[in-house]
Amino acid sequence: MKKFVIITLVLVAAAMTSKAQTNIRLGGGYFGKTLTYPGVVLDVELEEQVSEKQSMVLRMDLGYFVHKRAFHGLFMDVGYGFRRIFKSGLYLEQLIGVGGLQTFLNADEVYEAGPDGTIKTGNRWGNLDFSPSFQPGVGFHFPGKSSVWIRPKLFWQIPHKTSSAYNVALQVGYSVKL
Amino acid sequence: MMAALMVSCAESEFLNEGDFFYLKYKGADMPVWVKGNPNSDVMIITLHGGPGDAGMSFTINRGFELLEKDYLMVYWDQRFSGMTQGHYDHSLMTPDQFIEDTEKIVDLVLQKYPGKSFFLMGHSWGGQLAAGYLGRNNHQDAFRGWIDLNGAIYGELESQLMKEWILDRVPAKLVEPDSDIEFWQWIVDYYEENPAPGNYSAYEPYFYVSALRGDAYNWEETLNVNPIPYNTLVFKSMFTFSYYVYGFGHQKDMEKWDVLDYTPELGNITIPSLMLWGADDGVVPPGVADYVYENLATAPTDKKVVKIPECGHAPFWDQPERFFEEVSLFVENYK
Repeated sequence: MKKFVIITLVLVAAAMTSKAQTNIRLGGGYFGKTLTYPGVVLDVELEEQVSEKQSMVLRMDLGYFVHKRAFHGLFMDVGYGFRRIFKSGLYLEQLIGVGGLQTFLNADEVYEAGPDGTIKTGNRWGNLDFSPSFQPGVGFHFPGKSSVWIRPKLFWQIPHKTSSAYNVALQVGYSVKL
Repeated sequence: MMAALMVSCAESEFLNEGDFFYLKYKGADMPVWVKGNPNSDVMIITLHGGPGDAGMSFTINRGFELLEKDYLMVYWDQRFSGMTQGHYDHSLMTPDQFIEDTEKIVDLVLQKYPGKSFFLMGHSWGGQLAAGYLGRNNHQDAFRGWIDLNGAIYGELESQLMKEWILDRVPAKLVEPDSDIEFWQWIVDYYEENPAPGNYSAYEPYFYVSALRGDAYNWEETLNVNPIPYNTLVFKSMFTFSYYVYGFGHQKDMEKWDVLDYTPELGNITIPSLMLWGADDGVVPPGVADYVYENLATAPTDKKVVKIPECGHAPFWDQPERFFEEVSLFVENYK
């Protein structure tokens, strides 16, 4: 978590000290873990326009999803990457991110066994996992202030078992430039 | 997006059937799924193999589907396995910890479903786990019977029986028309260099057994009988990609399993027991079933070895109908 905070601060500082034109966008959309396990994602994005065709993007995501009989996930991550913008308004982007994923067990019931042999109802708190991510994306800037986007996301849960677990998601949403 | 939402909301047995709960113990959040005939007085608690496989995957094959029509089945994933969640220390990867976890899972099921007739069924490593569990602390008192499915018991013995099983078959392969002589000779050379490989830590013998059809007897036929519903598993089930994360990749860990010998525990087990085996199993060869039979303290009238022809390491995959018949016969007799 300490690493996550340091990296975030470095990325934010880099963006803020830039003299290039900066756009701020707020967005939100559907977050589908493995497409069909539903959730929502909200984001705030800082875009440094390096040229007409290129920009660097710093984005913070906050999201929540439900995977029945597995877990609920609450996540926050910060991604930084590159965006290529075409004259038509279409753009392609690639971000890498770091963040955290807090899970909550999703089941009919949760029990907890004690070392003394007692078994009682347990809480649903899961784990706080370190969650790096890889997010390519495609979007479209409409004339004016709005944009739509589709962002696949590959994200990890570390630690898991003796290594890490990976997940995929598809995000589809809408942003507004402030 | 709408299509995705509609698919996600659709009915799926994996998301709706039975009771699904978690047991938290020593950092592991282990999923338990109880499904089957809700009116049954019989509950069969399963112990999956590996270590590192998953109990939830029992639910996608024909043999267990048949059992679920008559009985209540209990499936769960052991720590470091399947869809188990949680943060826990690597030092807990010991056979004794798995026995302790089994004790907690069984205690929970007994508490949650009182008054049932309980049976314990373990497959492969799960059979060894069952022996270790039943043979200690009078755990067997809670059960009407034990169904040992191609279960391990004593690593050193199994490693040698596996070696014999493989080397008995290699000479015929070497003289087959268009034989891949280099491959089959590699097996002979391997055993010359490794006369006593670890039963769990050495992976090569398992590869050789698969090549000789001692794991699945006829994989193509097995898949026909047990079609895997990939779309449902990925998009409408509790399965996550965590299922594919194998927790037992370190040789040092598996060496703790190599030295296991639960023969003394067999000497404490007196409940009715069925050793149900694939006659063509090369992973835990049928000689192990005879060894378990001889060392069990159960009276001869209450123990039985059944070896199913044209069947490899998993009778519920290769011969689901026969598997169901034999298990049913045993359960109906002792419930």
